[in-house]
Amino acid sequence: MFVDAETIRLLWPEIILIAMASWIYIAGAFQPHRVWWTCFSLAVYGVVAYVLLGTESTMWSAETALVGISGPLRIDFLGFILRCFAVLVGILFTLIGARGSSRQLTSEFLATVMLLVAGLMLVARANDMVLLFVSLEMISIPTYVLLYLGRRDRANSEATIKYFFLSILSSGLFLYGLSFLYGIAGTTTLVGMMGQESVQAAAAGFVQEGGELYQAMAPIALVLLMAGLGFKIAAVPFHFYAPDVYQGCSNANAGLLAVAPKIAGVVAILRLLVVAMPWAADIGWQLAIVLAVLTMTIGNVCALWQTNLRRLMAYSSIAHAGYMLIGISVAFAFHEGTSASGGIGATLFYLLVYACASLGTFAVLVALGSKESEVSGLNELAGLAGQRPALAAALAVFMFSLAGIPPLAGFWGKLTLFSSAVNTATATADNASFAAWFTLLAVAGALNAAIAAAYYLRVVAKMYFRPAQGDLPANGGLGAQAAVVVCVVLVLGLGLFPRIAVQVTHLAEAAVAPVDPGSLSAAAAPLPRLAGDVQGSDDASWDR
Amino acid sequence: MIFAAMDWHAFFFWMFALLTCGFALAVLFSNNVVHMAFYLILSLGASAGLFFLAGAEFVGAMQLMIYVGGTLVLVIFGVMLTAQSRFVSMETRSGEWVVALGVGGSLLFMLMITAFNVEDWRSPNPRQGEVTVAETQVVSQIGLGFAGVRVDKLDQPDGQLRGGMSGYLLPFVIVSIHLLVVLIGAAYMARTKRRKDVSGGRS
Repeated sequence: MFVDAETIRLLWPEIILIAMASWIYIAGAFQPHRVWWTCFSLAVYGVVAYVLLGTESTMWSAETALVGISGPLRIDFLGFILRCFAVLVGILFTLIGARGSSRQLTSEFLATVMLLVAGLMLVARANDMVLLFVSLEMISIPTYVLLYLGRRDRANSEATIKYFFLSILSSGLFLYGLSFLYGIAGTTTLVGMMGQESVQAAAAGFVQEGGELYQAMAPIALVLLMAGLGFKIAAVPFHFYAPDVYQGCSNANAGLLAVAPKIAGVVAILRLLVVAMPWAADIGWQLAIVLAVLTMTIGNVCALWQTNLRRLMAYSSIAHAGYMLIGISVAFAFHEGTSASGGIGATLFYLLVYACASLGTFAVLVALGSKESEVSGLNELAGLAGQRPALAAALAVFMFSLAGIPPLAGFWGKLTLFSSAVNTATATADNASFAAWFTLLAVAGALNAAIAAAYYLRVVAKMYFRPAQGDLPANGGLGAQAAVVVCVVLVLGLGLFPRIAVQVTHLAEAAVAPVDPGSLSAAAAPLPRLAGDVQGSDDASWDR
Repeated sequence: MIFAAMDWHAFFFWMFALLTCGFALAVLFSNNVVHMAFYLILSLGASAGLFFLAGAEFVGAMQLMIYVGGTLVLVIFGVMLTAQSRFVSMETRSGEWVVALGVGGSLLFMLMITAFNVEDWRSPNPRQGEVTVAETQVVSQIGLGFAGVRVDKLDQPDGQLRGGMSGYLLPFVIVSIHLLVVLIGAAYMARTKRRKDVSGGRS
């Protein structure tokens, strides 16, 4: 069967991005002009957003989150919102970073960001191990180039090389895990082997055929995949690169590192581990809980005595990966027969909230710096409120949101995560170990939120209650300021009207999460198919 | 005849396995980078032999071409071109040994557990005579897969699952995009270092 026209049609946004990126690479060599190419790439993102909404918004109605498969792609609501979010990240990062690169390199920078966004969009859609892996690499490889383009000094080169080698190691672990998964399942298609409609069939069929093969291999596949993806989201014990790398690279690139791999890693964990490997859930939830507690605690405690802003944000991003692992462990536990769910939705919501606040923080830092000097020390922010009240207020909003202070977005993110853990604990009150573990998890999360508040508020206190030490250039350009405004609007909007976003993420969870374990044993209901012309394309292409 | 009496399959298996493990250990205990790279070539070459014995000719050939032929030659060139002194030696500190033993040991432990937990793998296949080695010695199926044609598991009865299967054209195309980005990055890195004064870029 060839890749059919339907699959191509669903990939138009990525195709446009890749074609335009190639065009920028070529044409930018002849006409290096920063403002022109920045506007051009913003226009491309606009067109992509238009195409994306045009082709897909008709597929989703408010009540039903539909699922379909087209070739190696999985079409569901989770993929849709993540693709939209990827375009938003692309726009923000174009605004933040375009000025940082030198005039000759602007086109390279913009096109590489565009390819990275295309990779993010493909990860959101991948339903095939091979496609998932190459899409993840399509995020990693542009990241190496972007890190190197950022600056040209020893610290930056060291950070880039460090990130490069560790990222390759993580890709190797991830591939090794995928090979075990392939050995268990005998197919590269995720839904095809053990997606929601065939969990039972796949697992049952396998027990008969291969004996204990899948039971023996499930732990090592899970551990290796978790290790590979743990690098991407900077979870303990794979976090050690983050502080050095963030400190070594430029503010804009640190913002990229804090957001893009994290989105991709969390989505891959949800797609691959939580949804496609429910038979490994009994090890999965324990692993995720241990990692979550360790990651949160180490991230937050180490952040307490950092004086370099990027290092501080690196530990903060580690800690936030820990919070997201709470949702992932809840999602794993769902397969173990707990009736409470909400883990995937909470993780996604938290991911969106974290990404907005984190990108916003780095946008403020870029706006405060200039081409020649970057803001990096915490002390440089002293007295900022008197000098740049607007930027200081924006940074304070982001810090409060990251700390989880109501009524900002971060508060609702933490609330949904912790309440999903508590729900799991109460829903499994008859199972003592479950209840104890998830109660412990929620308590650890709450304690960590308190620890985290200390260092986030320290930044705010520095800005508002300390005398100014020197004048910051605050010459980061209009783009960074525009990105700050967008992020502030998002953080405030998500904070004041969380209901819409929570509903959207729960719709996404409904699309991706397996049906209720109880109803699995019932006769497999026919999967709801995509509305309109996508429907039937699978069968039609088969007959061709 | 002694040649006919010997179990050649077992003989070659032990030979390749011992060569692989032995040279892998040699990599570990050697201090000279060039020697390490050479031992690694031998170790990987011997493991290619294991693949051939297992009937996976394509994987074995790829192992030889990519690792032995490509990557390691690159490693040796890299060492030759960047080495400051003639013989690069690396001293491994005891702390590094401990960490490496911990990480590597736990991975080995997990792999052993996995391998010995599978019942079927603990004893030789009772129906050894019925095992047939795949007849196709050509890679046209792989080529077809990259061109987007589905070549395996065509008998999937479930239409929904069948719809999810397709060839590997899309990943293949994406890999070409990877190469584009890698080329851009390589061109930037290999450029002369006078950039700073030309562009006035920050440092």
